[in-house]
Amino acid sequence: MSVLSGVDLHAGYRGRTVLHGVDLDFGPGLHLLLGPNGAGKTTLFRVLAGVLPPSRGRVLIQGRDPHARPEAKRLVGVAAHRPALAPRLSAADNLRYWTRVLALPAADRDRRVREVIDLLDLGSIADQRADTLSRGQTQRVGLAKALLAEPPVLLLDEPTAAVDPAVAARLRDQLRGLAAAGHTILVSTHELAEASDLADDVTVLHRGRVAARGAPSTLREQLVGHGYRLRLRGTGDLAGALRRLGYPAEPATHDRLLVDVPDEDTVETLVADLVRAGVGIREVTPAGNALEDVYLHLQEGASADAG
Amino acid sequence: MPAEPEPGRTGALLGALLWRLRRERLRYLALALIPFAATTALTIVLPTVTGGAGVNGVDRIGGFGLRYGTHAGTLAVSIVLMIAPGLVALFSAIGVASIIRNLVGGEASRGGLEELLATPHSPAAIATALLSVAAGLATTLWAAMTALGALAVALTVLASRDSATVSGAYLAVALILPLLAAWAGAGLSLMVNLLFPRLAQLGKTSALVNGGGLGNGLALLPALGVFLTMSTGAGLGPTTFLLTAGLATAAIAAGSVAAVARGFRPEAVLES
Repeated sequence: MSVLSGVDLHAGYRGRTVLHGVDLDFGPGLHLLLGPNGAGKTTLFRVLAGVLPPSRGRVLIQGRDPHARPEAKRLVGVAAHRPALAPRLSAADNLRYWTRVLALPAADRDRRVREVIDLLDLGSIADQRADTLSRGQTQRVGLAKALLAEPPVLLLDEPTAAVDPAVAARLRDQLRGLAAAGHTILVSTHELAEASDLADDVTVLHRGRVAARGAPSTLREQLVGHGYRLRLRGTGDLAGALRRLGYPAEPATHDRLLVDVPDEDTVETLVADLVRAGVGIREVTPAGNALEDVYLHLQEGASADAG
Repeated sequence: MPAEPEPGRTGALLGALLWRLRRERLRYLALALIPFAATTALTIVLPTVTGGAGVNGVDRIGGFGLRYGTHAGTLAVSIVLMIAPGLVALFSAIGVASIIRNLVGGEASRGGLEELLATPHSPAAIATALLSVAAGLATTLWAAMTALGALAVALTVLASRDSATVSGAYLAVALILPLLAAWAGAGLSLMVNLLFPRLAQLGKTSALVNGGGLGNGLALLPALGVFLTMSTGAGLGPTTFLLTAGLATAAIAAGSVAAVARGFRPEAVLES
């Protein structure tokens, strides 16, 4: 079921086109938007949120175009990379102010503020002035603002950037909970290590175009190919055994070696061959993750073009 | 289910902005009043210190004051009567421009305007609400400063042990011109902050008007015009004077309001 879609989206600023015909379609669940700097992620978020009108194409949120009908924007909650809070107001007052901006019914305002404070565990900082909040606390208040009107769609621009790991983990859990509750959540992030853990549906944006879309492992196959790089640690002559088996290895940190294999099936064969060769295998891990490979692949492409 | 918003969203947004200002305890307004109060106090004290001897052309200004209906002979009263409207206009414009720069320019640089654009309010509704807030702030500052200015006149009359009678024409000029200048300043400042946000950030660290910015500089022009016309246009007669200066200031106010209402584009804010 499509909740949020963009058809042939072109957009930019004063004649500089940033998005070149983006087609997207999202249903309920957690979706990830990935791309190098300058790929157009923020511009795409602005267009999808109804903030920046596209020069061509159309956005539909539950069948309604937010650019033609501003009231459709109430279906979307947006949490910016750096949420804009009124610095002299407390966290709770920022939320109360936003209930008024969103024109929520007066009878619902206090209830909604209490609910999002409870949901995001903001009780301890509710009375704290916004300009004294940490980055992570500000991010959570920004997410709370996005949730105030109970919108079915959430657009979150790097919600866990510069947030300490414990808070980031809690935020990810909360996002999974919201997705399970039926929200359509699109998250833009640079945190590659967490990205593959966060969503199974990843859209890769590159130079204002959708470069690929799918699960992390599928994307890796599409963009990078089937090869894998493994990190190995073992007893005995691991380097010699690998050389004899036809897998030249590079040294890595802490007595580990890096080996390239053509596909996942080869990993099993290689380990069996090494054991037969008298090597005791202590560790076999991927040297990177699937999304990291995809991301690096795109960045290498951009650097090569720039050079 | 999403909560259904209340009807009348421009009113709701205006209410939200005013609620926020009130919650911030009108700190900006208080700050804007301090320079005016200080300058007005100096204006009362200074003529007393100089002893009434004509210095720096104050006797000439006093003469203009007399022509506007001051039947008392006291130079200090005349000076205050002539200077007070100009000061009200000038400091109202400075105050409202600073507030708009902090509220609108500051919000734009923090991403607050982008967040507003993502709410169910059209850009025109947002511009209208901001204009209403700006006009309201300008009026509030004008009213507070006019009250202080009237107090300054009363104190000066008391200090001079004299009496003063002012004509209706003077009252009209002294009340209407500063209000129009404050509105024009508010409109110009908002216009620069919304339509040319990059320009509004220029010179923000300079000494130009309380933190500076092109918006602040432009906002002062109508008020400076009030000063100039009070000094040079007195010979025109109150009606012609009020019509000429008043229409010019009103045209600036209306022009900037129209420019904001028609020209506000999300791209300009987002680019900055």
